[in-house]
Amino acid sequence: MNRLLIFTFLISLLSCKVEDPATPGLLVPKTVDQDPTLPQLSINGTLLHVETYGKATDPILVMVHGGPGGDFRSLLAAKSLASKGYFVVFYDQRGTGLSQRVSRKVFEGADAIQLMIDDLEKLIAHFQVSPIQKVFLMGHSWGAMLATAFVNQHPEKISGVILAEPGGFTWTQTSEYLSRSNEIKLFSEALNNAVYPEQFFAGRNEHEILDYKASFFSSFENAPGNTIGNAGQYPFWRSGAVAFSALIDNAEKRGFDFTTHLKQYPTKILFLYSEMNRAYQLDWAKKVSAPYPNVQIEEIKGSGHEMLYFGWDNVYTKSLTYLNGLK
Amino acid sequence: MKFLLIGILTILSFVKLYSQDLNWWQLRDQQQNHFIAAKFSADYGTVAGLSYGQRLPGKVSTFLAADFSSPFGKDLLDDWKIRLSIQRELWHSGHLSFGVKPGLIIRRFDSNIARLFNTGLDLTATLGYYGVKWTLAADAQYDQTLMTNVKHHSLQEFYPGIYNGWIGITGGNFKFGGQVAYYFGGNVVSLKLGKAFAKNFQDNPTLPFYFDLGFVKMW
Repeated sequence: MNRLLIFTFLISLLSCKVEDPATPGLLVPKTVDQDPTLPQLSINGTLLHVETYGKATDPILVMVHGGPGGDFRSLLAAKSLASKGYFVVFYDQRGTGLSQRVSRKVFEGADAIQLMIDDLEKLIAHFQVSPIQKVFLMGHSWGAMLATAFVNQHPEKISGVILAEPGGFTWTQTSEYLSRSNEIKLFSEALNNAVYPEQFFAGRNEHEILDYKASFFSSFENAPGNTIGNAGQYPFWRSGAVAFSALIDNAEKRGFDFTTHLKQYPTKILFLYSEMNRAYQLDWAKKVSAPYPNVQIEEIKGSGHEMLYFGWDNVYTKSLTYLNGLK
Repeated sequence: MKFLLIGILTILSFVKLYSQDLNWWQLRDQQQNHFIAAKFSADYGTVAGLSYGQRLPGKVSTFLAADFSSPFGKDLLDDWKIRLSIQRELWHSGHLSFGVKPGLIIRRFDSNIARLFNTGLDLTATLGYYGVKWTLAADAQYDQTLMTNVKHHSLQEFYPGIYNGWIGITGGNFKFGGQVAYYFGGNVVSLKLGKAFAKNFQDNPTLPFYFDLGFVKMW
């Protein structure tokens, strides 16, 4: 009887369908190079996932997502600004979201942040139909840092900026914020949820597996009682694991300072921080935004760090007022 | 869970204890056929565990053991690992000894992202000095995943086309470290420390170090 049970168990185990976890589309969505039906654009030598809303001749608003390694899915509420007279451009940064995956060497062999700035410059150039068409940037978290890096290099190209909780504008400042926002509780469920799966997924190099594994970390930052005040999980397409780790490594090695020319940007910027993010309060918002000569700081009530998703109504009102004042 | 562990450790501290990895030098001369063990460790999380082992018949000391461990956290037993292992001394010379511990692993993980149910194999090799008062040994372990059953939660909402079912090998990991055990008043406190690596030595764990405080009572 026992032998029969063991035999039955083995047969059922052998007969079950076993898929290779690295198969494209199996555990993470296909990217633009794998699925030609996705909206895409070839920019600066890579294939980006890009969506646009509104009239192409209206002032451009480029949405710059967070991470690094995140994607624009949680920012999509901003497409409502298209009905208010803006041409809203969403793009997944190089190697992230549904954009084409890129080798770690692409980031390691270059100034990775400069590469991201160049991608943004080429994207703007692609959509700008005339030199007088105004261009605005709205960046969230890392995206707000990248937007500032762009303004620091190309102040003349940007007519206004909305920044939602950039970690910092120097690597030192960003490291300080990261250590404060990633508070680790050793006996917490949040810690298990992030690191326990690492014993299941270890040492396979395929990006599909690395991205899938990285998605388990999202439950850490969004766990109940999280430091940054997120109300829960927010949607994403894929966690760009390679882009994330390569950009962090790059920043650790090279450092960065996005403030060197910000004094040359006299335009008022809108700087948003969230009520629920315990690691990012008014004092930190003032400190980070200080290099800009003209700053309007606003608190987004009832939301945490992911304010463009959980606090969009409040962000929308403040952003539209700001943008219309500069249109 | 935390209080249960503290209670178990307190009880065990009053009885005769041995290190979790068996002291082969002592076992050669003693006829102890069973052991129970408790551990507190940092191993892909903060983990508590219990073990039971029984000597198998034969001239060479061999123990068959079952380990159960689970990480701390508010969701009790949503994540766990069971390991069935055979522990055997392969070589000795005086107090020096070399032993191996092959094992079959079954483990489960669950979060708001997904549920994973995994099978794997591991092999631990230990070389060390096993004395009357103390043990000093080096450990090397390799843990290879075999098959994993995935059932997605929030990932299913974000990507409705995601696959649910069995997936093949997802990786493996190494651990390299050492252990020390001190015997006092018939008790033993043992501590393992080391570093964990992914099998390609690149995709290494977020918590790269492990430690394991273990106790064994034999009879």
